[in-house]
Amino acid sequence: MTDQLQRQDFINDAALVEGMLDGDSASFEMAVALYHPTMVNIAKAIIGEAFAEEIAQDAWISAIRSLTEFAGRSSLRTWLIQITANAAKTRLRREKRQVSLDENWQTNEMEDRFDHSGHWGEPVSQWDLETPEAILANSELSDIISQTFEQLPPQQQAVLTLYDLEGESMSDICNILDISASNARVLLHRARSTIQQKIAQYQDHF
Amino acid sequence: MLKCREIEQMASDYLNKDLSFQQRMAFKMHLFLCHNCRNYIRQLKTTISSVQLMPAKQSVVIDDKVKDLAKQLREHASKQ
Ligand SMILES: [Zn+2]
Repeated sequence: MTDQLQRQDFINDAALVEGMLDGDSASFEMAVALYHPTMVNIAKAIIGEAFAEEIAQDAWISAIRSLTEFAGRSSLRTWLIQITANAAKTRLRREKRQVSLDENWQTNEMEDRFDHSGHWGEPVSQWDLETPEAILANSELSDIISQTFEQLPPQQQAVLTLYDLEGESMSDICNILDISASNARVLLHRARSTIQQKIAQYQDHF
Repeated sequence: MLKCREIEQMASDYLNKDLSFQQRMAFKMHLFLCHNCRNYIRQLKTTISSVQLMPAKQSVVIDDKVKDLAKQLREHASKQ
């Protein structure tokens, strides 16, 4: 059985944490539904596919152990991300082998959008659906955005989540993910750019 | 004079306000003169705002996998 709930019902981190401390099963389900995918992704971004699920589950256990210490200084998501990132980095050191994250450095599969002189190959149009509200009200486009987001390489998705969704600073992101500042900037731009190109493809054939 | 290609590469840094003063001025000068890049920056801004609005618009799916993990965690918590 699958339930669909609006996150607005549980929008308050403090209420969610309190529910979990009370042993309320709906609160646990909501927390897992909201944050587990992000935690798995953060683990993937640091240590790769193989250990990600296991690390995210271990991170939940340590989070629950110290749930009373969650003071609401950061968002619950950011707190869980930090616990996950620490677990992944500890494991990475223990495994003592460099996990290949090369997938993130593939050259852009999107075609070159510029001509030999560095100008746009095709004119860049103004979008018909111009506001985020209008874009997300279009169900096809809204599906395209969430699918593209989910299919981003883990490091790109992690940086996009931390910067654009969680509002973390670049220097905190570099610490959490153990990457350089220039790397983080490139990953963020690639992630945004991939989504922008998907929206543009849809809008141009609208 | 910056090329459109460079504008595209610097666009996120521009929107994040991570460019030096001089880079920022050169960037703005290009936007002033280039209609395509102005549209591109608008598209990128709209993209970022759409991503930011996305979680609020999505419903949360509680499937069996979620329920299983939630159950395990709840049992774990109750043993403490
Ligand atoms: Zn231009």
